[in-house]
Amino acid sequence: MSAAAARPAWRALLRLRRGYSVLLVLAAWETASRAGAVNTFLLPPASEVLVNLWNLATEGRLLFHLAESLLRVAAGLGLAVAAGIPLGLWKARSRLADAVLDPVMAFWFPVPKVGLIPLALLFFGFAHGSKIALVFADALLPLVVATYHGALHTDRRLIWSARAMGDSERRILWRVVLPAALPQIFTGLRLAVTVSLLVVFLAEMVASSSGLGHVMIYALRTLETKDVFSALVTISLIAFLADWLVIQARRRVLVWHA
Amino acid sequence: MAASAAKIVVRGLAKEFADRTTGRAVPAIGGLDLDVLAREFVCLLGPSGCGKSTLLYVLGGFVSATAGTVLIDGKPVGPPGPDRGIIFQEYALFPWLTVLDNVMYGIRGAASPAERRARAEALIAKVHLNGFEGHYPRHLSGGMKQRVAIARTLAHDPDILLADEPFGALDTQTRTLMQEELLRIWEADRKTILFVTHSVEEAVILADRVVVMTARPGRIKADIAVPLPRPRDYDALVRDPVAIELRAELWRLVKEEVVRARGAG
Repeated sequence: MSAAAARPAWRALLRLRRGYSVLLVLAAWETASRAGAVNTFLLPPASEVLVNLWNLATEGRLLFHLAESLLRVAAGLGLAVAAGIPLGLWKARSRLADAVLDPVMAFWFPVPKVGLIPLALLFFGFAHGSKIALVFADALLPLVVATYHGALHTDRRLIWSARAMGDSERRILWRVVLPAALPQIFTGLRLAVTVSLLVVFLAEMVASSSGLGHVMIYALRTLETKDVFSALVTISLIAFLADWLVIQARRRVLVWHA
Repeated sequence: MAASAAKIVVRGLAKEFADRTTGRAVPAIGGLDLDVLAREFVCLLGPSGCGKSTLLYVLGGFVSATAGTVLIDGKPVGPPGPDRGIIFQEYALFPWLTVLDNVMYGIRGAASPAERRARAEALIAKVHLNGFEGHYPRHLSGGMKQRVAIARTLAHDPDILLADEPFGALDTQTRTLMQEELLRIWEADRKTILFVTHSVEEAVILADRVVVMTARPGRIKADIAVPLPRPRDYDALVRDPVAIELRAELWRLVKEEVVRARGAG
């Protein structure tokens, strides 16, 4: 336990290091642009991009698009969690479910979901529907697989103990198997979040009149490179924040976990 | 003893497992008869792999028998239920629940959450874990974990306690303390206990009766009463001539089977 004393200092150092890498990228970017190494049209200085980002944000347009993207991710991911966790639990605990789901998943896994973008547009329209459907389609599998593996390896003795205490199988599923699978579920969730963001921005680039992906591709078409970079910075920030949120949630939920 | 008077009656119990690689049936228990009286403390002693644990799992309703009958209170053994508590060597606490919540998990049918909590706290006090209510299992030592497991099992007030080498993973000192504590709890509220162990010493300290099993496929080799007065005094037992004699005899019986098991394996 001697490491415990050193931990806060070590953490602070790690945090600093993470910030340092961002600063390094920004500094390199700024220098490359200012020094004329790269055409400033292709690579506007970081400082100007950040000012531009601030203007876009305060003017409200960027926030609208950000909200659109986040809404789609939240809806698609929410549906994937709501469906994926029960499916994974069911697959782990029922031979029938395993037999039914296995071939479907084996088929679904290698399908390049990007190829579904035109279909999603066709079926669900150019607005929210298609993006939500695509996020759902991509986030579902990591959640099912993670839940399944977590649930499958639940300690038999825990299940037996619950049975000996008079629990029904359904109650055991929610009170024993689900918590036992939580560490794995969080791993799946982290993957699902990353994939969701990727898919939503991509779908918005292909066909959308709103969202950060749309902002980016629109800026490119109108040759507003500062806007392209502003959108890129926003997307990166969102991705970083989303991942951080999952990690924080994991830490909170899994306090019991070694 | 009349069979009908016994709490647990086992007749001709056989259990086979399918070998994973060959697919052939491997007998774990081969025709076992056993009677356990109500409120009796019986230790099952035998070499590794003799089917001691399997017998417990059949009684618990976790595993079904291949042949034979198992009666509890005159009725065929049913699916697992709160009438039979089980304690494992590996504790089997819910790692995501605190000590208090683990114990509360076992409490059934209490009127209010406050009442359940009060009962859990009383049980925690009974196993001397006051102050650890909010701890998660990973922060506890092996002995403490097993105390929580005992409290959790007592919480649903089972008629029968099935203990599968509960102290097998503990160091000698902790083990001794846990034995004394279990005896204290049992002497205050006698449940029928079937206690699997490897340890001759443990069996003599705890049991009313020690059942020695043969090497696989397990059968009863010997059924030996422990004529030592209760409450048992751990320190006195070390020097008690009856206890010494009994330990020697039990060890001789077990050793034969251990050697036999090794020869077969």
